Amino acid sequence: MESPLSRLLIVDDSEINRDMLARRLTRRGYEISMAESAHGLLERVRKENIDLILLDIEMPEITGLDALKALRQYYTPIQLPIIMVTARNQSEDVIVALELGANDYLTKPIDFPIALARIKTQLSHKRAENALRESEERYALAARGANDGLWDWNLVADIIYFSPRWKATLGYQDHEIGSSPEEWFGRIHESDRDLVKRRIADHQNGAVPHFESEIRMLHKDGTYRWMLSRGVMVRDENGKPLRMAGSQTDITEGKVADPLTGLPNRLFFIERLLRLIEQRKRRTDALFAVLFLDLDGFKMINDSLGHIVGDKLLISVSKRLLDCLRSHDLVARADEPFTVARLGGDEFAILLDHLNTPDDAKAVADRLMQELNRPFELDEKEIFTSVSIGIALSSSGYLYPEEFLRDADTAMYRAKSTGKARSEIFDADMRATITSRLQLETDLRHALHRKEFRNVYQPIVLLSTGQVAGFEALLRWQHPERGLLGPA
Amino acid sequence: MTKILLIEDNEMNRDMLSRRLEKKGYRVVTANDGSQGHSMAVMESPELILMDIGLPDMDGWEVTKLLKANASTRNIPIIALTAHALITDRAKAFEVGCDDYDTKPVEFGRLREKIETLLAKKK
Repeated sequence: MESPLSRLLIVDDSEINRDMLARRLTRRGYEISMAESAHGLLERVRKENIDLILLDIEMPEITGLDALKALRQYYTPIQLPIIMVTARNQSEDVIVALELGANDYLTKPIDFPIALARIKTQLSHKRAENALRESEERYALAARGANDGLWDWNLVADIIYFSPRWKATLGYQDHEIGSSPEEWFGRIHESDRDLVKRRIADHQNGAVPHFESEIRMLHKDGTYRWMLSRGVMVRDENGKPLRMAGSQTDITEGKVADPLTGLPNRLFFIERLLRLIEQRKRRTDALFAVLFLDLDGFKMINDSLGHIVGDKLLISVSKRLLDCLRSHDLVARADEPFTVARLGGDEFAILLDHLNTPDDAKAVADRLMQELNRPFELDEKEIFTSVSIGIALSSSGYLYPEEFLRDADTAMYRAKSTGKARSEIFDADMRATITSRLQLETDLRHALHRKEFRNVYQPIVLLSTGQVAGFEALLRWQHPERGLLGPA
Repeated sequence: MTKILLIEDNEMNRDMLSRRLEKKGYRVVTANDGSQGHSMAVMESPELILMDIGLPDMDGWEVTKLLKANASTRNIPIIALTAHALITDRAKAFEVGCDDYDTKPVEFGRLREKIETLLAKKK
């Protein structure tokens, strides 16, 4: 199993130490290079293809720690394992060395079997790295294009390398993001965080050949972007996970998401809706519904508490909507048979597929209203809101998404005008009312151009004298079809 | 390819200068403080060093003194870069063993002439 070509570099200012170790390692089949100081070390590592360095801590001029620091500027602990060699009384230096990125250490006088075991361990990690590089093509991890950010998670040390491109897709400069896993998980949208962890666990226990997840990540500008994150785990010979590496691609445009909440936007929603309408032409018994939601009194919250609080509320609402739908019995399926979108302002729309009866839609709406009635805690303030919901059902036989949305909107208005915090299912009467109202508005607009208004005068007579004291001027509308109309 | 070590703590300056040098065909390695600059000078054995003087921890004068006191690094030409055109700085640069001296902001053409002159002298 030992790679015959492993080349080790021993850096030690003591000639005896150097030679003794070199001879024993050569006998074990390693190729050995030696250096008496750090002088020109970086150049040598580059030229001689060194696989591992045994680095003496105590050297004159450039100490082992200084050399380690410089080496770690160029090579990660996996690319170039470094084992520090120290005297027994240098435990503090060992701690510093490990913090600076040393892989392991040996104390002098060197116990050769231990040294050999540690060298072997480090080299096996490095081989896993090479295996990964070979599998990169398969998983298309690296070099997927200029827009892919790369990440490389050292599971042993629990640090992640994020490529400059990875940081740039989130709006950050290279130095603004460190190497803690929290830099990643902390930026994942709350509603997606558990999902990512679950997917990683699925991959870790072998359920899926690689990790892949679509997640929303917080951009520096405060908005969420959709990212496609994928990766693969690398294990040592015993199957213990060593690292996970992968790529991250911004797929926001493909997702047409609303930047504030990360939810799909109107465009995406209409497309989904159109697809379902098309499907229904083949399977006419399929029942689905559009729920049109509008927050009650959102404008007041926005005006009185400021739009930052307003924005936060919208984010919290969208999260609560998703949580509620996901936990709901009616829609608990593997592939989410619902789409939540933010249409703009404080308007949300929900598409519910796979319904059995219209009551299902009503039940979901009631559940959502209940959830949104609970106060939201924003900036340590409790904010109460409620929601009015209009429902339109596919059984009305819509041909266009816009009609569908329009009727749901109409039902929402009915819900709002009959007391708020209610839900209404659209019916044909509503259509009639709204149509006649719309017609009236259109006619009114034309009336002025067509000179259909006329003044009528009503005389005012003084009862005491019977004389005409003046006239009351009134406007009447001579409607071409409906005759003379008054305001009533 | 000629390797130049640029020791400079200001990220923007470091980035800008190293990019311009690279465009002119030099290989540039960088360090962002004095002690790192010192170890890099030893471990990289560059052909020339551009040394910012105002560095955190160990300043450029000190690093220069250390490098000039050591046989393995003594012959690497060092150009000191300081922010002020003070005559005392100039005198100090030569006193501690710098081979040349320039002021920031760097006028790139002039700096390049100095680099080439020193590299030619070395050969």
